[in-house]
Amino acid sequence: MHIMEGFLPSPWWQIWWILALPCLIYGLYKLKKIMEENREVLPLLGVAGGFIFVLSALKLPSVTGSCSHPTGTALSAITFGPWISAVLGCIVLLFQSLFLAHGGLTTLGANMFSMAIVGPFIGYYVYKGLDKLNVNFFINVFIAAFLCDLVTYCVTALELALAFPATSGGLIPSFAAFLGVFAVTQIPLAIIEGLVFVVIFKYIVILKPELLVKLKVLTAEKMEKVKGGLEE
Amino acid sequence: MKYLFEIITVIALILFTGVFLYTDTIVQASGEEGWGGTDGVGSEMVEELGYEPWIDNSDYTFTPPSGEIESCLFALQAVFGGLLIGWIFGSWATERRIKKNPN
Repeated sequence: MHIMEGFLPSPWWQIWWILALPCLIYGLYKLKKIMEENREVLPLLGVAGGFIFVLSALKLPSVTGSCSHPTGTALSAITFGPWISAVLGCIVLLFQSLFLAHGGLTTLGANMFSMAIVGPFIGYYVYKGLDKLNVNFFINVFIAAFLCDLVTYCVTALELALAFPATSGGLIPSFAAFLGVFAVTQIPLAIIEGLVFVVIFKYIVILKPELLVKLKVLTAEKMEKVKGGLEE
Repeated sequence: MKYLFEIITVIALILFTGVFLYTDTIVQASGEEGWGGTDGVGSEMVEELGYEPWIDNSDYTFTPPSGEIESCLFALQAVFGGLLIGWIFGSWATERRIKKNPN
């Protein structure tokens, strides 16, 4: 989902930077607060960052004849919320733009906005909403992770469409064309990513349920239920 | 079922691989070069509109000198992430085992 360096003309790359920067700064503030208050969640933060690193390095062939990669932001989005995901995603994207020439410093704002901000934001609030509706925890995780991934690519398509509207018809045909490239390729990968995160959450529930309760991902009684369901 | 989620994931991966192999034969038969990255496809679409990128990574930073070196760096990225995840999950699992069975 990287927009390559130089592929966003002048007003747009500044606009995405201006939108992304406050989220990053607020994320750093939240991160500092978590580090001061609650040091035992640090390993989970490491795992969340690790998954973004690993999954966004995996370029998988999809069914449409091109390759794409999962985003891996679901774990940090669901557990730590979208603001801290913005920081973690920024670190990964910065690494890729500086050492791998994927994305770039001027398009970093746009790439951050799609992968590290809007995707986790949607995933987090969908998770919270479905949790209120008492949807099964693992189904909820699957939906949230699926959306974290797919929305990222839809936003990338939107960013490109806004910068390059079609000469006839303007924004919408151009958006549809970019969606055809980014989103269609992504659907099978997003399904796989959703399933992978369900398995990961299963192991976190088995190994460290207290962390999820502490981060208010699940209330203590819901956690008992989820754990009980697993041990059958 | 103890391993229900794992089984579903593995079945999905097998299906996904099957669909990939099937589409791959179509792509190969059509003679087009397939399996480039979506980043590249998107950029090509923009370039077809007559747009020239105004800045390049090589203007200000290191770019991987070849495809092999690039995949090496990508592999290293995955390795560091994987080591971190494995180490933390490993210590959690050990912690739990010691708690269950203090001897």
